[in-house]
Amino acid sequence: MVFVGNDVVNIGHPANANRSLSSKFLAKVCSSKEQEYVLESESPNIALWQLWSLKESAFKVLMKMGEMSFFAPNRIEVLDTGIQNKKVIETMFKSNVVYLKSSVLNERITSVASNSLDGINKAVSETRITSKPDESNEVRRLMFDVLKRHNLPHDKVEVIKNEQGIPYLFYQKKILPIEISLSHDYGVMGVAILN
Amino acid sequence: MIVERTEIKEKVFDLLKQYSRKEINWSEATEATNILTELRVNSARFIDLVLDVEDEFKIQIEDAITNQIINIGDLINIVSEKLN
Repeated sequence: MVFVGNDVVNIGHPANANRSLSSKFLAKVCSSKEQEYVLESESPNIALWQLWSLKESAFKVLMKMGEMSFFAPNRIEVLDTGIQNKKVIETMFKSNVVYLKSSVLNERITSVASNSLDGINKAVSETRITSKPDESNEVRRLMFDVLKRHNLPHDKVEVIKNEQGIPYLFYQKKILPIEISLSHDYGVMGVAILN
Repeated sequence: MIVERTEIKEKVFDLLKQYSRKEINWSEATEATNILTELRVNSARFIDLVLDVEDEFKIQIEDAITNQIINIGDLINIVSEKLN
């Protein structure tokens, strides 16, 4: 099966500021090589959160594949020279390849992952800003908007998460064969959809 | 020196209050409360929480143990085991 995962980070939010200055935080998130990369970057905080975002996207795919049950960011190494060029990059976890892409725009980082090259190229990814407190509800609204715009089922469709937190689209109590991933972070929301 | 569980619990709750993104009645939170789903502590803030707990209790929580923390009670148990 082809899976999709995504993640967004609002690097403009105070909670995410200056995290690259914390060596302990860096060590929990990054491999030694990645720590060097972050500290040598022109914008270490952006570099850190971009790696984070790629790792969390990859984790969502690996969790769907049954290869990882908890998010241990420093176990997924995503460093690749293609990151800054918005190219599709690859990471290996155990014997699994995960394809990733990421972009930084207006203090927003958006990353998408898939276990298939075709999947990463076909996945629809969209971000939006919200000032509403219930981001969980707002990100669902964004997803239904995207589904509607792409002529995909959206009416009377529900999002149900399983006990691991993996979201599925349900219509009349049946799972729809549309892969989705949702993310929100301090007013920034992102969805990735793969049909 | 044995650190009482009630003391650990009180400090853990104080730390958690900084990171929960959900308006909750803390008097209703129990050791069974799920940190990620019920308190809506996101994954980045969860790492901050673990770092704060390490600093507060002067312990180190290894990654393999961090992954076992689901609810508040798990965190209290880990601190208690490390200290006692």
